[in-house]
Order: sequence, then structure tokens, then C-alpha cells
Amino acid sequence: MDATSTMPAEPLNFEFTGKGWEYFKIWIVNILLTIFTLGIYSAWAKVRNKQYFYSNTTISGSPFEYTASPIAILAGRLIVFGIFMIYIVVEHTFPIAALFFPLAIFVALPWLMVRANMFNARYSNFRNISFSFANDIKGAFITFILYGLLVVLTLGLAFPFYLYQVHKFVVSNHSYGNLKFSLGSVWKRFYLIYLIALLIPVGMVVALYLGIKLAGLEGLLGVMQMAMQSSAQQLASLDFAVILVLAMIGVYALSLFMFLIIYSFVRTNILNTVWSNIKFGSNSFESNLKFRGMLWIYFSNTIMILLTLGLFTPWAKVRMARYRVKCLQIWAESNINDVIASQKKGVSATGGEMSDFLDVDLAM
Amino acid sequence: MQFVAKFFDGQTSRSHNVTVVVDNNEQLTLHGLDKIRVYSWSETKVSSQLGSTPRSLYFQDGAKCETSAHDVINALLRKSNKARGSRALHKLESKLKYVLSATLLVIAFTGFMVFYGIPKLAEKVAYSIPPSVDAYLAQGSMDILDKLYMDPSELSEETKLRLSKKFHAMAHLTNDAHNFELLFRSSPLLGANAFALPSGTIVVTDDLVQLAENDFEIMSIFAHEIGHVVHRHSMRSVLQNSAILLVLTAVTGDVFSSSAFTAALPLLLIQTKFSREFEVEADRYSYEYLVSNNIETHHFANILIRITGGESDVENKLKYISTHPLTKDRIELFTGGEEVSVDTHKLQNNPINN
Repeated sequence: MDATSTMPAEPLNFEFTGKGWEYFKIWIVNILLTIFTLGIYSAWAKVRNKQYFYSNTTISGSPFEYTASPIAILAGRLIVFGIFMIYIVVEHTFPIAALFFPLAIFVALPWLMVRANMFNARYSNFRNISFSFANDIKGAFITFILYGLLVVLTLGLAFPFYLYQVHKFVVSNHSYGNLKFSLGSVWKRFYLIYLIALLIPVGMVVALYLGIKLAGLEGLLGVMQMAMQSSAQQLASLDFAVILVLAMIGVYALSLFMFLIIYSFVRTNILNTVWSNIKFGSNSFESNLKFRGMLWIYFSNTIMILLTLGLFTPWAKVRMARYRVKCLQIWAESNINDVIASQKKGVSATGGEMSDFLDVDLAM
Repeated sequence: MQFVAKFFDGQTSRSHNVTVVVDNNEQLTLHGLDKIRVYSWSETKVSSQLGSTPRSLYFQDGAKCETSAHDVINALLRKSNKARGSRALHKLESKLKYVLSATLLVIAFTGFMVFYGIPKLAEKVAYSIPPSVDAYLAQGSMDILDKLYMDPSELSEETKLRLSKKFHAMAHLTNDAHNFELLFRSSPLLGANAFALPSGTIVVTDDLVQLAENDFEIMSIFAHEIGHVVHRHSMRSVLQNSAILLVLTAVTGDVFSSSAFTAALPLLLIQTKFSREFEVEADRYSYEYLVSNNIETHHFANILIRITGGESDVENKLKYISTHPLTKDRIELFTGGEEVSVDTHKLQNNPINN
């Protein structure tokens, strides 16, 4: 395919129109009603949360839509809760039989993954055409069980490859109407990203060491040693436990900062790599997230959530969504007006009723 | 009544601008398409109003309209008495007074759960768990402590035997199923100190034994540590912390996966508060032991003052992040608020400073 000659000059832009205060109002009512109904409302809360972000995400003015029924989500949660209760009872009465539970969940994992994705896709809409997810249990088995075991056998060396396969499985089983999505073969990029992520903490330690050396602050170590000795003397007046707590806060702040740098780096690059290599029909995406932009949002969100004891959370989510959506574009070669709905639901091979019965949301 | 909308037939993704006219027979007539479409309002499903996002009218044949004409839609819903639940929800989510009340209620509830509900629940659960489970919590900790902070005791066998006898007599009195055990260790780092592992193992440092002026003082410390074990403080803090982490992550959750990180600092502060409350409970246990065995309660106050060096400014400033209550407050329990003089001469010979 000669991409350059057929590419349109102007990409279609994504836009996010959600507002922090508006979402806060929905978020806080969700929490209150979930508390008052002992968790039952959480199914409705999930739909409202999700629908808020879907319907505020638009392509050329058209919003996405999340149309799942809260009752189906509630049913899914009750089933999971029921299984958990059975597990508790079995564990008390036949402890040996309970050992098979983790095994059963392991075996059922591919099926659960497929079901959860099918549910989510089916109730995700754009311009009254729904997404769909293929019933690819074999693919799920290969991805999650076989490649998962590969990670264990290679002591983690296969982890980036596994992660790529998971992304590929999720992307390539999705369709929008009659258009199938696909993900390019970019697993080498995954390795590169994780390799650099591993080098970041090493680099930080080396930089710190060189900084001390270059600044001629070798005496610093001596000072620190003296401080350690004198602090042992002050233990009597300064509660040892207090020092411990202060040290823990210090270590916490430092490790949080390190974590945010590595996390932002990995997130930025994985998201850019995956989105920019997705194709559907002859259309493709482009994601241009910047490491500094992501780091700033994660960092300031964390600080603000801490300072407000969690009340900043809705603003944090809106800020992140706005940035991610702003950095996303579609290079559409075919007209997005001409996507045709695939076969309507209800004619699935398993039979309408059976699939409706199983069509519960298991993604917690 | 009429409003403008975008029409999608459900067959293709093409968007059509339409004008929807609503007549008195509750029929929706769509103008602007190739041919006029008519739908019955009573068979039309309307999506819930959410913020200022457009909402959808789903028709029986799978087609739908998207519109931001909320006023018209709401008037229609009111007239036909439809979607009362979701209209009430939107009211809750948009009126300032409801939102503020919801915020206050959520804050009050979370505060209540974190500071009262969960600790009470953890207490109930902890007491129902057999003491043998406590041993699991302590597994391996003694080895680690020995490796990192402690050396074998240098006390005379005679002293150790004398104190062990008293300790076991006390442990026997508790009628508690824990496996009580007393260990002596020398530790310059910990200074004059004593601590209890959840299994019932209690460790005292040589410095503490040397600091004591009589055995009653050491016994009051034993009672304090036994109090920690009997009241299941380790199990309770494990249960509390995980429950609170769960609540905090549920509220701030799925912003990004480091929300556990975000919850860690508040958790740390809450933890120190519980730790202070546990200390008070252990102090009270010691107080009751001393009173019921006709031992002067001043003994605990005396050794506590010698351990901590009395009240200090630093302590006062850091009282909210300290794991222990203020020494002043602790002493008050044992002296009934009487002034206790601190022997400064002895403080200088305090082995902690060596």
C-alpha cells in the first residue's frame, strides 16, 4: 500500500470536553450512594463514571457512548461475590478441595478475559455503531497462559514480549463495525522501553555519585557519618520512633519520585507505541504523548490528591484524560462516515438467550 | 415543541442533521432525512442526563438521535412521567446544595470508618482469631532483629533467672493462650527498651534492666508489653491497615496504579495515631496489673521518666507523627497528675548515652 500518496493532509482530532468540577459532582454522588446502598449502587456508579469519560471524548464533534446496563454489571459482581463466598465455605469445610480454586481460576482466566472484553466492546458505541470483541478463547489461552508461563520460565526476560502479546491480543480482537483493528509487530520497541526504564534508576545513582565527586563534596560522607554518630547520642531526647517515622517519610518521598519518573516514562512510550501502530481498515492513529507532560500530570495529581485527602481525584482523572485525548489523532484514509455495522447482536452462534445470560460484566 | 439533533441509523456511521418535531400525540417526527421518519415517544428509550454531555434517544428500529436539547427532553420526560430515577440522579449531581451535603457526608463517613468503624471491627475480628495465628505474624522477625539490631545479653544468669520467674508468674496470671516467653538482649541502638512480638515473645534490653532501680519497675514494663500481646495489637494493626488501605484506594482508585503509593502517606499518619492508642491501652493494662497486685503505680512513671529523659520540646512538636503518646500524658495515668521530680543526676548516667 502506498501510504504517502493516499494519506489525507489533515488528521481528525480527538477532543476531551470533560470538566473537573462537573465530574466531581457526579463522582461524589456516586460514592455517597454506593455507601448508602452497601455497594449495590457501585454498578450504576461504574456506568456513570465510564459514560462521563466516553461521552466527553469526541472525534470531529461526535462523542463515544457507553451503553452497558448497570443490572448486568451488578449481576456480574454478584456472581463473583457468590464464587468468593463458596470458596470461603469450601475452605472451611474441605480445605483440600479449596486448593483447586486457584487452579480453576487459572484455567478460567482466558475465558474471563475474553468475556470482559466482549462485554466492554459491545456496549461501547460511536455514531450508533458498536465495537465488538472476537470470541478468541484460544488466543487468550496462548497469550495469558502460555506466554505467561514463558515469563516465569525465563525469569522475567520474556516480560516485554508477553506485554506486547497482551496488547496485541486486546487490540486485534476488537472491531468497530466492519473494520478490524490490528497492531503492528512492535515487540522490539517494548524491549527497548523496558531496557531504558531499567537504566533510569542506575543512571540516577551514578549521576548522584558523580555529582558528589565533581562538586568535591567527598567530605559529605564524613559529615553524614558524624551525623549518624551524634544522632545515636540524641536518641535519648529525640524519640527513636519519631526519627524512624521522619526517615520513612523521606524514603517515601524519594521512592515516590523515582517511581513517578519510571512509571511516566514507561506509560508514555508504551501508549505512544501501541496507539501509533494500530490500524483499522486503512486508517491509523497517532499518539504524541510527551514524557515531561505525563510526568508533570502524574506528579501534580499525586501531590494534590495527598493534600486534599483524595477530594482532588476527579480533577486528576479529568486532567489525565484531557491530555491523553489531546495527544491522539486519527489519520483516516477512508471516510469515517462509511463504517458499516457488522452483524447485529442477538444472532451470535451460541444463541441469543445463552449469550445474554452469560453477557455479564466480569471486569471488576 | 421541536429540537435539533444528529441522526444515526445504526447501519452506517454516517451522521444526519435532523429537526425533531414533537406533537401532542407524543409522536416524534424527524425532518431532514431522505424521507420523514415517525417514532412513538412511549417506545423511545432516553439516556440518562450526565453533566453537560449530549444524550441519546434510542428508537425501536435501532436508530438513534443525539441531542443537547436537554430542556425539551426533560420537559417531555416530566410530562410523560418517564425516567424518574435518572432525573432525580441528575438533580443530585447538579444542585450545589446536594453536592455539598454529599461531600460532607462522604467525609464524615470516611472519617468515622477510618478512625472508629474499622478499628472496632478489627478489634472484634482479632479477638476471634486463635492466638496461635499470632505466631505466624511473628515468624522470622526475631532472627531479623537479632541479626540487625541485637547482641546476646551480658546480664548475669542470676538476674535473668530472677526476672524470668517473675515474668512467667505474671504471664500465668493472664489466663491468655499466647505462648509467653522472655528474652534478654543487649542493643546499643535500641537503648533502654522493651518490645513484644505478637506471638507472646517479649524482649528487654540490658540497658533497661540496668536502668531500673527495683524489680517492680521492670515488672510494670513487663505488664505493659503483656498488654500489647493480650490486646492483640499486632493483629489489629495488620487488619486495620489493610482495611483502611482498601478504603483509601477505593476512593482515590484507578487514577493510576500508583494510588497505593498515594495512600501510603496518610496511612502512615493514621498508623501512628493507632499506635499511640495501643500504647495507651498497654499502659492501662500495666496500671491495672500494678493496682490489683498492690504495687505502687509510681514505679512505671519513674522508669518511664528515666527512659525518655522526661518531657521534651521536640516530643511536643512531633506529637502527631510519633508512635507513642506524650510522656507527660502517660505519666499522669500512673501518678494521678502529681508532679514527679526527675533525678537529673541519674539522667547523666543514663546508659543510653554511652
